[in-house]
Amino acid sequence: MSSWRLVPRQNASHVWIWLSPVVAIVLTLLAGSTLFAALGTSAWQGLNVFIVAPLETLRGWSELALKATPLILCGVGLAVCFRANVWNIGAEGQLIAGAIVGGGVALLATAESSRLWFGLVLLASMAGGALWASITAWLRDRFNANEILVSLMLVYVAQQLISWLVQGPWRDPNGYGFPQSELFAAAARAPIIFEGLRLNAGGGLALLAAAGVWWLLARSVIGFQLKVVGLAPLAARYAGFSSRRSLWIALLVSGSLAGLAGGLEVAGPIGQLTSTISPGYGFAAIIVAFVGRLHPVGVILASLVMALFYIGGELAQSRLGLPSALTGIYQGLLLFFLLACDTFVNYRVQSFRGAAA
Amino acid sequence: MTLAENVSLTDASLHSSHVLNVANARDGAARIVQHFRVRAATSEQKIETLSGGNLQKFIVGREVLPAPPVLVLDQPSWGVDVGSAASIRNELIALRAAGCAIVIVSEELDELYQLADRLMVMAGGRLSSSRAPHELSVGELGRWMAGFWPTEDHPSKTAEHAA
Repeated sequence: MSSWRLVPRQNASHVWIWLSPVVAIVLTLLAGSTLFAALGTSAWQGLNVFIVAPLETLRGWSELALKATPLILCGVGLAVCFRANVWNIGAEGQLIAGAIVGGGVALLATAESSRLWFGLVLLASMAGGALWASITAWLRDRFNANEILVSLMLVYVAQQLISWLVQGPWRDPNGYGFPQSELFAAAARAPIIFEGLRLNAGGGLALLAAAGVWWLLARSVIGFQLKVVGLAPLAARYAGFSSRRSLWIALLVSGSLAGLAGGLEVAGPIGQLTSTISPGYGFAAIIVAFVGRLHPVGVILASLVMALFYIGGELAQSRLGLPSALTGIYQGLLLFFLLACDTFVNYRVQSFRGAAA
Repeated sequence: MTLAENVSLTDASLHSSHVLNVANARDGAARIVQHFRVRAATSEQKIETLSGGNLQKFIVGREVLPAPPVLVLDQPSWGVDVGSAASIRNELIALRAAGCAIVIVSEELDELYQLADRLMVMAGGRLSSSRAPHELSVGELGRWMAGFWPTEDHPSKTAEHAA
């Protein structure tokens, strides 16, 4: 008789740190395909629509990059936070706050406004996201409030705020009562990269942001201090690094990037403020950050996978008549399998022979 | 944290510059590894993977190699093998010869007698007067440590003067 047990590893496995997300993605697709079978579609057909069909056309790739943009922006920002041991769960709220402030500036643009107005929209959206995150930072800093709870609850405040704005003061008077603002003037809209596709300049900005975060974490003194504060608080105190400074920097960086993501969404594909501007990008970015191992390159790759799940969910709904909740289920499965696979980073399976017990 | 990152912790330029000097940190870690014979493969190795003795050697090396003007050490040879302890002591003697003021807190009496120019005992909230090692026998030192202060010495007064 032999039994299997998890035995702690002496050192974390470097192989499993990077293998774990890959295995988790494979397991997610396997579990997802049995889900298709249970819903009455063949697993092959389901997977085909979910992960192959979106990539068959140039337009599909453009949509993929478009959906990956807010995920990358939120994800790399969250990577900074999580590295610094600051548990910002409220990127969704910071994204909405960025959309509100950026959208407010965009609504001021007229047909005669200069193209520079778009830059102003981006700056405003970053300021909005940073401002929203700073509420969390201040509550944590001043009252030692739990940033997980505070940042999460501020998401709902932001959602109510944008909902009130588009149903009240900012509602389009010619919008037949729909909860949405006027369409933004062209000067405030994100410039399209390729004619006929929806992908806009935001994709490039997301890659720039990822490169910037890489530099921050790997090469800058501030990033080094953030990592040390997150990893070894005592060593950080010894070296004279301020944990308060880390808290503020981490939240302001991730808040402004999430805000930028929100600004790009409303100035990009949406083109106006509505009560539902994000299908949960800020929450999905938490999964993205961990699947991407809190590394900017990993976050970019994980964002593309997550974006595929979003598009796959939409296609499964329109082409196969399956519920769009599939996207959420795939996200949940991915997180579930990632956490399970991460066990093998610090543990290995060992078999015990005979009646050892 | 890698060895190179650990070296960066005490890099004075951290407080004056905004950019991490990654190459310098790697060289620094490699120098410590070589100089103090730390068993480590590369500067990018995680410091958590070092054994206790190797970790101690690395950290003492990190503090000694930049040749600071003042150094405060608590049990510098704690947990390292005899050979490594001897090499750490030799480094400290060399550092003292180069003009560094070193304060060592230790219960390792052999080490203190070998390294110190002046010995002081702190016990029961009092600080003794300082003695050169050849003026103070191990037996007397032991009695001080147990709290039996010499009658002609007024430790509390000495402490006040020192303060």
